[in-house]
Amino acid sequence: MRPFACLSLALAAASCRSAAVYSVTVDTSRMEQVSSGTVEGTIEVQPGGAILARRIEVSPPRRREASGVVEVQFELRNRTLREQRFDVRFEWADAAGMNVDSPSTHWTPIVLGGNEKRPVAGTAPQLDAVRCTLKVRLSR
Amino acid sequence: MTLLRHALPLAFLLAGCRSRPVVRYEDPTGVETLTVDFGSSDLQRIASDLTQSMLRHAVFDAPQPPVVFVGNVENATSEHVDTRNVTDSIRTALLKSGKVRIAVDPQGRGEIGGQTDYQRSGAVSPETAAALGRQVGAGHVLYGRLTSIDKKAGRETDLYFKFTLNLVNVESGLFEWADEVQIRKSSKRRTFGW
Repeated sequence: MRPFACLSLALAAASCRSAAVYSVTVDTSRMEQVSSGTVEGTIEVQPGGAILARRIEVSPPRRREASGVVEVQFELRNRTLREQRFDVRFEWADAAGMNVDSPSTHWTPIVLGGNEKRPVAGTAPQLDAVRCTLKVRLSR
Repeated sequence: MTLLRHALPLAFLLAGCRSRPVVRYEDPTGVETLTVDFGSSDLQRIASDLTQSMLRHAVFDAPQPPVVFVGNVENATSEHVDTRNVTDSIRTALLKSGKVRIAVDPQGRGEIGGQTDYQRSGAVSPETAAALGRQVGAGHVLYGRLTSIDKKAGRETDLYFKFTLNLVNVESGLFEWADEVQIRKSSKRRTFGW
């Protein structure tokens, strides 16, 4: 194979790797509020490609309300034995599905050791934000 | 002569390529790792984590939203960090939440002062001029501190930031909420390359 073709394939692979995003969306208004344990709610999962799926596992979310503000927590698990670096981001929408933008809508880097589990939590930026989406991607 | 004929266009081509910068838009919410210094991702993370923590506190669950004055964040690090950037983001997020009212800052006070002076200059009808002495006093003050520990060993640099924010009741002088965000970054210079 020509060197240029190899480079093209590598670049294509790299771009696929960075574009893959695993996302979990929950409708917090349909989740029952419980003090502990996972909650069954309306959950939509968009798998983010084979490489990402092999490396990360996202647990069903937990929900709690503090001072009238909804907080949703997911647990991430590194499915491999090696340290993995991911970026996570919370996105919120209101009941009509309109995006609720806030300074909290940004990618945050997270480093997980081999087989490590770690909770990531997002708080609704406004009182009318009820749909929460967690997005996970491999760090670039 | 043949060499000149081929080399000259090539030189022009290379010079042209070199002088033309590649400009593109980037995602402002993406993770920025250009250098180990305090960057946009750190700002966003601090503003987001502290706002979320603050909004969960009981003081913001009152029927009448509390009035908060966003004070200064002392930069106790060795590098230049515009901490106003962080407090601006925190203030925006707090206002958008609808659970807080924010008292005017010194910049706003200057603007208001200029406007009230103008309204009392005689150019504005007294009926429409803003009444003085009606501003709302803040019940809480928000202030904080940014510190860092910077270590270098050979080609490796390790930078640790801690951003602490406090909410104090003006009347009682008591801390009602405090939280901190810690960020650690490292970089390693390559043996070869630029």
